[in-house]
Amino acid sequence: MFVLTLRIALCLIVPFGAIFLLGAMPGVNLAWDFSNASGFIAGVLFLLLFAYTGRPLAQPRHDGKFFMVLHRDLGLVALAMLVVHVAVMLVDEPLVADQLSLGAPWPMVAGNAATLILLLLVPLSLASVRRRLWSTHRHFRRWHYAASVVILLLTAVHMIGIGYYTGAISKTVFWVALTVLALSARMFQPARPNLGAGGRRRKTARLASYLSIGVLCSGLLLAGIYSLLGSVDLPL
Amino acid sequence: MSWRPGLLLLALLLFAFGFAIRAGHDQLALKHPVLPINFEHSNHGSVNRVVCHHDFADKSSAASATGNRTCVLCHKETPALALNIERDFHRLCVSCHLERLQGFHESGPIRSYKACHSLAAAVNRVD
Repeated sequence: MFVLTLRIALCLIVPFGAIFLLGAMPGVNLAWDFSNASGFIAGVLFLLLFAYTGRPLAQPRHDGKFFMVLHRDLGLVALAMLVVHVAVMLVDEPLVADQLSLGAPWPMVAGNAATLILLLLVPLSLASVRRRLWSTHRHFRRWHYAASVVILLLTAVHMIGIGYYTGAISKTVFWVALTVLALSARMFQPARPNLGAGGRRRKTARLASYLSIGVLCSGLLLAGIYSLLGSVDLPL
Repeated sequence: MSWRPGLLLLALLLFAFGFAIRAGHDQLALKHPVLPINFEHSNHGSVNRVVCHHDFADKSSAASATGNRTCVLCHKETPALALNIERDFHRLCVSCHLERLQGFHESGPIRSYKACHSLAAAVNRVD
């Protein structure tokens, strides 16, 4: 569990540091920077969901439900960060609503489309709903994966196209590499994880929810610290 | 090979969907009204005129369908330019403001709808 927490923390901090802090762009204002940092963290979480897909992994040695709950709750955290991204921006700059139409520049259309698909995907993927809509779990998984790939690609178009914080070529290449890595994560995961000797800990799903709440708090804290740093007269 | 017709149909539907989105986007972008712009010539005295008034430098016969030569209206009324008007003007303003800000000089806004487009701040002062 400690290793998993550390991995998730690194997965959040390394891309955030590489894109927002290395060769940092000047801060705009507290709310704007907070909003965009939140949106970026939502994007990183989308990538992470391709690694923690809900299938049991060798580590931590928890029961299958832990991984399903982790995937579901990290997805909800990503949605929450996305809602923060959009809501804070609309409250701070109501004219941004002008960018929500189909006639907006293409990177904004991509971001809007990704948000709409995610808003549909999350409720449709809840166990009680998906069991009614899809006859087999295999069918559901195919649709869920396809929609997730579309979200990931649209997110990349949005982030790279808007290109304020991600403006440098090296940052674009970095984000494209992360997207490709996430899309190819399936290939690196063994069909059945090698567990070695010993059993799995049972009834640990609650830990996954606690971990996800921790990710949400850390994400908001990270965005808050960044927006504060961006607003002081440091060379950021 | 029963999946082939289905796949072909899906590809056709996706193509049609993409085409419709593209057409809808272009139509809406062309119809989109020009936002009020808070631009003051007197603040931009240090900028070379041809940076903005490029039509004088490149000797283009830049004039819109209605013969308008003001920067925003010329771009807005020329369909090929109107589709990218937001991108082009944002790049023009932001690149210069950002360069100044990164050099620790006083600068105009880089990402602020309120400062650039609010009705209160601007009574459409673009020349």
